[in-house]
Amino acid sequence: MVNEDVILRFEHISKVFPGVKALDDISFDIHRGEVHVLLGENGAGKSTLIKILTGVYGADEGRILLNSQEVKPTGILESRALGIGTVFQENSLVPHLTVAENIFLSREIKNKANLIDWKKTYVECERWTKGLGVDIDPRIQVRRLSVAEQQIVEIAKILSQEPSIIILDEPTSTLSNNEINNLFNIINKLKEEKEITFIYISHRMEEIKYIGDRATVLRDGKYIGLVPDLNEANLDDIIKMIVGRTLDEKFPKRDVEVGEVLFEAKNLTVNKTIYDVSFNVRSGEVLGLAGLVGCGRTSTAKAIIGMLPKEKGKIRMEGKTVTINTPNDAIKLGIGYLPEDRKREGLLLDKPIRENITLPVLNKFKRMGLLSKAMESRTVMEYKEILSIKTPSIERKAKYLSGGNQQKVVFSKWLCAKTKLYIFDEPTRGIDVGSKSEIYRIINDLAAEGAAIIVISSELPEILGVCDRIVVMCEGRVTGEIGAGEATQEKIMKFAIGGVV
Amino acid sequence: MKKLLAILLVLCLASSMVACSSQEPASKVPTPVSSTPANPAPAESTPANKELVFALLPKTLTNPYFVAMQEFAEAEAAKHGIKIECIAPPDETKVEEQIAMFETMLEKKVDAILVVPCGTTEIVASIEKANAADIPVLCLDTNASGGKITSFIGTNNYGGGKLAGEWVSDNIGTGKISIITGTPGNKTHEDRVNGFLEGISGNKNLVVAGDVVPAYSDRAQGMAQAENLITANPDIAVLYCTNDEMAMGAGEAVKAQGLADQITVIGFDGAPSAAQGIIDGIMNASVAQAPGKMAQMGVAAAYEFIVNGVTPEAEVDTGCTMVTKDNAKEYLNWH
Amino acid sequence: MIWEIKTKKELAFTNKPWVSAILPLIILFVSMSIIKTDTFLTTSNIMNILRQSSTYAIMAVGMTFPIITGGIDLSQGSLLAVVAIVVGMVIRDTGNILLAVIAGLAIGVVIGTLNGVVIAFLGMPPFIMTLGTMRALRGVALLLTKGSPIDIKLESFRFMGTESLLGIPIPAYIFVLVAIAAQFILSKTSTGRFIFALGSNMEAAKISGVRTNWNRIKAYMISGICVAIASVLYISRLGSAQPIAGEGYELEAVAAAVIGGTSIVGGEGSAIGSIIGAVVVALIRNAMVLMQVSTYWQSIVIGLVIVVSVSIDIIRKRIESRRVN
Repeated sequence: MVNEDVILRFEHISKVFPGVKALDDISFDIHRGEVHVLLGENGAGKSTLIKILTGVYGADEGRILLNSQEVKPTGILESRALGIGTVFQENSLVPHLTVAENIFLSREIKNKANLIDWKKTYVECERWTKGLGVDIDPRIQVRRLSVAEQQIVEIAKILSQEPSIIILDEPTSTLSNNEINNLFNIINKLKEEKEITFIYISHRMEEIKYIGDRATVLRDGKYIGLVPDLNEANLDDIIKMIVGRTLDEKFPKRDVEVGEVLFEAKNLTVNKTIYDVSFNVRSGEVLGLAGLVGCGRTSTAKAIIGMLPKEKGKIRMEGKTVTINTPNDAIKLGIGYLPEDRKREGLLLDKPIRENITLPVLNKFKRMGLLSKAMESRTVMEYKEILSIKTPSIERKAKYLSGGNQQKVVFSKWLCAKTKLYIFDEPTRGIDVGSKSEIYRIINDLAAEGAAIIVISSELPEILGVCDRIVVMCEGRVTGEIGAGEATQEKIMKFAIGGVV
Repeated sequence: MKKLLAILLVLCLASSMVACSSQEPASKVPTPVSSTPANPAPAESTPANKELVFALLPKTLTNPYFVAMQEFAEAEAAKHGIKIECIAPPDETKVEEQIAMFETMLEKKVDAILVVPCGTTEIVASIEKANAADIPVLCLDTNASGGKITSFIGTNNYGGGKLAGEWVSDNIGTGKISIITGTPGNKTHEDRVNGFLEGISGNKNLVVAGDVVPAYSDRAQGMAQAENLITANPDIAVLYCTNDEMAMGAGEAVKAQGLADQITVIGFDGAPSAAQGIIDGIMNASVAQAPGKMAQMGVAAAYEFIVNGVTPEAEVDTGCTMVTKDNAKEYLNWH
Repeated sequence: MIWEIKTKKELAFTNKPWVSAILPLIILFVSMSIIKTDTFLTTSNIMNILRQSSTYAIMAVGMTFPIITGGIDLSQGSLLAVVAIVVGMVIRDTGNILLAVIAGLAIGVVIGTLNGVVIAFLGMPPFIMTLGTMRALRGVALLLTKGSPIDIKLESFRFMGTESLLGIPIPAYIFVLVAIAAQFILSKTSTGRFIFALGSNMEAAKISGVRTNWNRIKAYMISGICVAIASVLYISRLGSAQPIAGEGYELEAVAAAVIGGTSIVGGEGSAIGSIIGAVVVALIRNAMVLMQVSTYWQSIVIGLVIVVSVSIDIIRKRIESRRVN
């Protein structure tokens, strides 16, 4: 039950950083026990607002009222003490500690002798993780878990501290549909049983319509408006509020001639990970690789480019059988892989954009045997234009770019390498609506030029909207293949859980 | 900003070139800016008027032997109104550092350099530079292997080793001997070992067990090596160490194993701590050198040479004595 | 060009690693010039400093490469001794300088490659591997010489380390040349770019096609070659190769590299910065002696300089990120 009781009120919050007004006179209320969605493109001010709420930043103007009392937290610990918990997009777990140690960090359950009672701790741990519908051994070191599992531990950790307000920042981007359902069940349960209020940040429209009660839209640091009933609201209207324009087509129309078979994988097998995976892609075609999180799609990609050792399997490029043992071999053959975790595997964060983009084909930028920065810059500037990378300079280090722009840099890298087969692993994860459509457009343009493209995605609408054909995997094997024409979310889901359509 | 820094750097280098006016050896005016420890630049030698400055460069100052040298040198220097600038590397293996110090002292145009070389061959090039600049060089305790040296004042290390060997032959007579040396390849320690070996060569009942092991003139390493040697040869009768620090360490090891009655520990240097150790029963004997005498004679000789033109003898042997329980009390101070 | 104007801000001092070395250098130089003008600011003193920094400077340049890859080469000091001994032995037995130098360089390459191969292919942590090589080589040095030093009398060989050209000591020319060559490799060749990339993020570099194993080996090979060059100069200057030579020099090289702005976690570094770092250390030693300060203070001061340089580096990075955000 959502009551009208205001738990949190923002009053005229403003925040200025050198050169930009991140928040401009933001005022709105959040009701107790509701799931209040914060909507807006990347850079709209959502994370700045949250950082002010959790005490990381101080507001330049305005105040925050929690239960009608003014609060001015000066740090995460203080905000936690006030009952505000945050689950971040990039988790805050300690990789070398176990699940249990992470969840109960500094709140260990002790026995009478004041020593840690591990037995009790493990039991408590499992209570929380099972409550989220996942089976994770509390004694495993967090770094050994997959991205999705880590996210769940992160969520469990916050929930175990039983806050009155929980901030969820893109919580579902690495979760499978099952896990998302579990999360939503828990959110609803906590709403009803404990009247916990949720501030939910996400770009996934279908999800927020389902789980959210009301939404506040921010754009360019300004308050745009309130969506009073997400369930009933019109998606187009919401999008209009967010971007200021209607996206009549979220997925640009494609009208491409599909050519010959460019790439063929036969019986790819990686020990204990994927078995006998076979499929092909034609030039000009966008092939989707769908399935639940952890079903082996990334492993397939990594096996193709030579990052994982193959026990068995053949790869054919343009009709010829080729050997790929290292990513270098793959690049020489024209295969490029855009990793799932762009910060950890896709970019050199403290190197300039220019160096990131030219890295795979550095030899092309030599004049008389020496690297020519001028040649590099010329080419990189072209890609900056083509992909509209927002940066004042190509010498800026990659770590200072926003998520969407970082992704564009990774794209540029592969464009620069004149890739023939692109493998995109979750290309739009954590990217705002506006940039997403740019990326779909880029994918289409690449296909139009004759490249073959594999898109690995866990967002079903994305797969359906972008791909010509969809291959579905489940637990390391290919379980189905459908053309975009006959595909539906239900059919894909059925293949993904191993059933037969 | 990058350009600014480049210009600054060029200016620095340029100014160093321009300032080579100080090449002339003519009498210099002491700089008006003198910070507390520094003194005005050393004056050229005109007898008795300007203050003389001698550089004293021992192997290291972490060994009381050389600290004693410094004290005696300063005492002698005070009598003649000479200033001693003493500096040394943190341990006797730092050959390059001592060379750098030597050359910097040349820059300071000191009136004489008294050096105990860490690297007897390596220092030669620097000594030749001093020769070219007409700055007299005296070697104390350890001689360099080349260059024009005004005088070498020290113990004949070979003779000292021989003395110890003969003492062992006369007083112990029979048994196994293990030898612990300092830094391998260092002439001082080599001579002490070789002299010792000659000293015992006449006696067929004395046998050297195993190889000579290094302990780098360090007490802790001396202790560790002694323990190893005792384990290897539990019946040794003598542990001969080429310096007192190592001997003290070895003595502790012997004492800890309760073998003080069986093993005689001998050191080299005659340090007060060794004398005390002999009195306390930790070690048994030491070949006393007279570092103080070396330093005192060195300063005096340099003074006579510079001021009165008296050429000292090319080599002066300051002699050594065996320190034992009988005369240990006299050696509680450096000589 | 338009992009040049835009990027001028990025090329400001916040972007250059060697800033952390230039500052102490300038401060020391200027202060010593004021305090001890007549002894410090003479050509011969400055030339001494340059000559005295040459061994460490070349080794620091070599050390820069493994550090950029996120590793370290602790075997440098022992390798210095072994190369010096071998060079000494060849000259003593054959009198052939060219053969001696080639032999020395060959050893540098072999040991460097050995370090690199085990580190890259076996995945052994660089600290451990080079620690092992360091101890083993020290033993080799003692074995080869049976503890006694090897003396060189050949005048034509000694020329390199002791003479000067146009008033500047030859070792100074050599270390500047080595630094320029190394900086060249770092900024103008693919190898350099790859070494930075794999130091910055090995996974991402691998996926981008960088042959990480091969390039790591190259980094250690370069370190070995630099040590060999330094060693030839060392024995030429000092005229003697002691088995205990070079003891502790690898840490001096690390200090010089760090003062010069090379980041110990990898991904960033500069050969020019490393030689500036080595000169700074030599300057400090020179200053201590000129000002009659006891050597005990030397270590303290050098330690302070390391902390100050790294602090400058950290602050510089903070200014840079604040400027961007």
